[in-house]
Amino acid sequence: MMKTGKTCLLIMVIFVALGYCLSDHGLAQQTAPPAKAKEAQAKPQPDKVVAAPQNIRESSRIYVFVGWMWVSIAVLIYFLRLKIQEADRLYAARFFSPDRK
Amino acid sequence: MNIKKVSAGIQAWFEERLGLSAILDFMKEKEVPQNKHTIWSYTGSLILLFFGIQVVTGIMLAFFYKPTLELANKSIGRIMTEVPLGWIIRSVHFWSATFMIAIVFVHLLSIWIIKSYRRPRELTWMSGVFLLVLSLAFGFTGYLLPWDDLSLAATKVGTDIPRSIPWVGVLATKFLRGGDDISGDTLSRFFTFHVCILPLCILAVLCLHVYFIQKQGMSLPLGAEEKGEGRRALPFWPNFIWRETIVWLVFSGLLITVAVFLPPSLGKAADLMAPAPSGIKPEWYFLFLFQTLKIFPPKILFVNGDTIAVLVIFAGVLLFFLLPMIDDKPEERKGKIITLCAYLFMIYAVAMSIWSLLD
Repeated sequence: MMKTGKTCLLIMVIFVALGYCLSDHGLAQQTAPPAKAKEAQAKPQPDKVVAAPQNIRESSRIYVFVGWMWVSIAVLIYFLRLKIQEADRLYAARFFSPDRK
Repeated sequence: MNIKKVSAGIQAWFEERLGLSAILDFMKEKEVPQNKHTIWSYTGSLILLFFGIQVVTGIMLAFFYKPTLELANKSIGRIMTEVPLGWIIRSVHFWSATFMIAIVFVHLLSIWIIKSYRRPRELTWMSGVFLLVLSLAFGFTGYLLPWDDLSLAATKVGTDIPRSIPWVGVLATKFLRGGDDISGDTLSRFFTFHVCILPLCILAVLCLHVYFIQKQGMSLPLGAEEKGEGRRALPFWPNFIWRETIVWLVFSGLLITVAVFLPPSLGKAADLMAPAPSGIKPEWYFLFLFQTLKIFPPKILFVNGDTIAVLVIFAGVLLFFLLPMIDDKPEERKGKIITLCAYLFMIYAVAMSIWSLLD
């Protein structure tokens, strides 16, 4: 159980670190310089703004992130299922029950 | 210095001040009944998850959003096109609201069908209905904030509905709009409701709701005692929490996937003088109410049809709120009819929503 826990923790740390590297720090910085903002204001407004990745780099990052996320979820579910089985076994054996002591 | 000693010292410091072990002991002692309806127990915590996601993404959006007539639409456009990953944050905010309201409906309907609102859990149900109304109010106020043609027209229609209520209707519409018509005041009013008043209200009611659940414990489905399902239970910590984590992970994954592949777009800035665009539709969760209002004729026996429609809807909400009092004998024939009403309501809501979409 301890070994599984440590392995689980290690894999989680690896996935979190990988995710952080891929994430490009999310919304941490506002990159548009003032000149660019002025230019954008001068442009005529389009009828509809479609939400989408701004360039090929961002779109590949997003799709890689979604794939990585589902792999992480699958790995985490695998370990959580082991945890559940262990917790259920201990509960069935009345391991934490006060009358067992 | 020994790490174990330091960690024990820190733990003791917090324990002395916060008494967290009492909470942990409570969680260890708390049990979740195990029966064929246990699956519905996960919907409550899922609502909390989506609410949390909305708070976080909402704060991120508020850093960039400007609630003025000139800048509201432009600032959303900027979030979507200039702010790094802004479009995805907006999309997650939009979809988490949709997921949350859908699960609130599922949660309440499951409680209605299982009859978990039975004595002594009437207040838990009532606070839950309040939470549904507050969630819908969040959706309604948030819909105007992008300030595009569609959101303006839908808000015009939405804020016009209370006008039909006798005596207080005109005042209610004026209060919602901040004047006789939709203006910049309406936008700032809706923004204040969306980010200040409603979050405070929902937090207060949520605390009460969670307190009632902890106080009364989770209910057993009707007839579970006789079937011998009453004794089967799982400890909340860690057995139920691990299971709940799996559900959270799957739904978080679904939310992000939907947010990436189906992000909401933004229409051009609303013009207060422009005529309303054709085919105005509210958000999906208001569609059945919208269609209900539409099917009423303009006049019914010298009374305005809209007035009757609004009063019928209000009466329906009141009956829904008082359901535990009405369904006071759940095992008897009356109780079975009330359960049947839950299924009929579901069919009605789905049918009216589809009709409204096709209309």
